[in-house]
Amino acid sequence: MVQVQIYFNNMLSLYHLADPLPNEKIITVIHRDVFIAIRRIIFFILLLLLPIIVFVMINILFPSLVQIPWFFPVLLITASAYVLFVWLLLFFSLVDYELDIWIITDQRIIDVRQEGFFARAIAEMRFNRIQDVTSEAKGLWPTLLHYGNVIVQTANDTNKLYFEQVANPEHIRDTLMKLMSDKKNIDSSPT
Amino acid sequence: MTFSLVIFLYLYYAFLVVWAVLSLIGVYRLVRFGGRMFGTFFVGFIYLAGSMIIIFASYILLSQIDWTTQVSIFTHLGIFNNLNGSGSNLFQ
Repeated sequence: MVQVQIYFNNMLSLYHLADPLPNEKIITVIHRDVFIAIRRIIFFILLLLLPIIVFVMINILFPSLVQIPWFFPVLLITASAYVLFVWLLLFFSLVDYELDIWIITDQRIIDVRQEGFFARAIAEMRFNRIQDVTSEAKGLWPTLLHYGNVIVQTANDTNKLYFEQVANPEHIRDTLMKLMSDKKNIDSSPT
Repeated sequence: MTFSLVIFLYLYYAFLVVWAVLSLIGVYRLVRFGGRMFGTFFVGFIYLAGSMIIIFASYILLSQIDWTTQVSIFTHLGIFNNLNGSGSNLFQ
């Protein structure tokens, strides 16, 4: 029973590292900015309202169409399927939002992304390999709402890790710089 | 061309099966990878609650329809002439 419970915990915990390093501690877990989720929700709510707009437009522009005996049932069934489909897309969009995370530990950064229905990509970068950390907020909304990207790069210029559309990118950059500095001090100190 | 309206209902049922499978996949992903976080629970709960409301509302509306009605597509094509004012009135 205990083993089952442990397995259950390991499987389900978002904040559990499947393969932790010795003495590794999680500093923070970062999602995209909440504005990104709100923007997606507003977009899909507008899509959900579309059948009502279409029905009103048909009633105004083509009133005789509604008098056809089978037209309203077909319209209703189409609208129901459409609403269920858009609702499903909203769900998948929010699941992706919820499951795309960046875990910062005291030793590395772990980038976890959902790609498609079943694919899940996990990348990691250790602090002793990081060369540079930059933050950027491009555009009106990122500037006003303080969200943007953080780019982490190794000495090998081809390896980059992106924190996309995260809140307070400057704060994340500062946190990473501090953790890098701490890691270098620990590594260079005599044991 | 005439056929029964119930064909649309069967197509709708087929869509519901596909939709239910995709929903299960989404819920599985959420539970498998999301963990027991508030956000994960909230998204899952809202989705399931919303789905039940949509399906129930659809059931209420669709149950009032007489599905034995025959759909006659070409009979009603004259409606398009009627819309631009050049054809005869279909419902006269």
